Amino acid sequence: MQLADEPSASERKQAAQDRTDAVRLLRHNQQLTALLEEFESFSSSVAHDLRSPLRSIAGYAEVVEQDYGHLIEESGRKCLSIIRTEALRMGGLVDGLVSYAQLRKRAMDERTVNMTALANDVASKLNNSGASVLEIGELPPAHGDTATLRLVWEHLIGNAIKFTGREKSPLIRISGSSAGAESIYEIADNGVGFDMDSAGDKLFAVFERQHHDNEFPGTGMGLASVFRIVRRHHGRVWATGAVGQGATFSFALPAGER
Amino acid sequence: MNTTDIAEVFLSTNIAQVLLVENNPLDAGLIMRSIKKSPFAGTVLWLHDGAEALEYLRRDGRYAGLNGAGRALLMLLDLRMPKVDGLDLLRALQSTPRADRPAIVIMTSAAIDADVAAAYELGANSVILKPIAPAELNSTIDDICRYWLQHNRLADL
Repeated sequence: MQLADEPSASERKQAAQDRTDAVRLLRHNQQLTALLEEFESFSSSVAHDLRSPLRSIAGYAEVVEQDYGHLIEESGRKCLSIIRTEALRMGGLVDGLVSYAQLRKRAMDERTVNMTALANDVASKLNNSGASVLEIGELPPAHGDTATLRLVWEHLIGNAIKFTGREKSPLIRISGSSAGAESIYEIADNGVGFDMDSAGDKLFAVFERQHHDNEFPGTGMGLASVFRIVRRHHGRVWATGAVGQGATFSFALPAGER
Repeated sequence: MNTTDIAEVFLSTNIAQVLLVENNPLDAGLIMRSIKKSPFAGTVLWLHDGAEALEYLRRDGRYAGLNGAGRALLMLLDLRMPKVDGLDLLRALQSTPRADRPAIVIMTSAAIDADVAAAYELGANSVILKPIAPAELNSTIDDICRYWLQHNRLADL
């Protein structure tokens, strides 16, 4: 006779199956983590190895420009300058890739962050020429890691300054609000904006750019880093914009203590 | 940019303010050019790897004839080098009294966290990431020379 609370044969079989599944899942998870770490160390070491030849290309192109420039015709000097600036551009991409790859490894020291002070500090450093008008309102505190959240402001304010660079009166407004357990931040500019249809999901992807390099230079790493940092904080980030009508970037983070 | 000339000038006067320990001749050429352009720097001697740097500091091998008069103030040290690399050199120098050594500034292409930590642990004074941009390399070398050759004070021998 079988007792009521004793598992049946099929239940025992199911439990054994569940255990096997759990073990398999755990193993997959470990493999995936190992693979990710391997990829990150691979990409960072490849990036590091690329820096040295790039330094040589840019450096020696400049040596020729400086020491032998007077022997070369104007068009030749132009070519040399292209070699130098392109090597530097690639250097920027490589450096961006390295810092992006290192983001995940950075230890997060999470505490209440005074976002008003942080945004003001970043803004005054980036806008030291005073070319753009930056209005920063009172921002609610966030709970997070100050060093990486500083990077978020650097990328977003840096972008706003860059993309309003051609406006007659560039204006950047930073504001914030509280919504339950979240603090929401918004940075709106009156710059060139972007096409929401063509940007789509790619806006926050690595190496994706919405503008040609000769219009607005960039590495395609900024918003990817923003996305990664905000996601690490279990937050959200989104954007709205239209061509010629500015852009607004918003992000939500866990609220800090007031 | 004739580097053997520089080495000879040094050997004849017995004074080198800056030692450059670098196995990549292209990097060495650019760094020496920057040092020579810097208003803060004096003579520079290029040592091609950690082994040669050890010979120099110990007045050994091809540097056996040097007397103590030529004390280097600053060593710019690459980390990745064949045979005796930067960390090996720092390790070998651990038996040398710190006061007898030049200031050691690591200049590396790859600021890998573990290497940076190890370099400081082994007594490096500073760690700098070699810039890619020529202008930035010049200003970095300027800053380094200004600080370590003009402002910094070493212990009297």
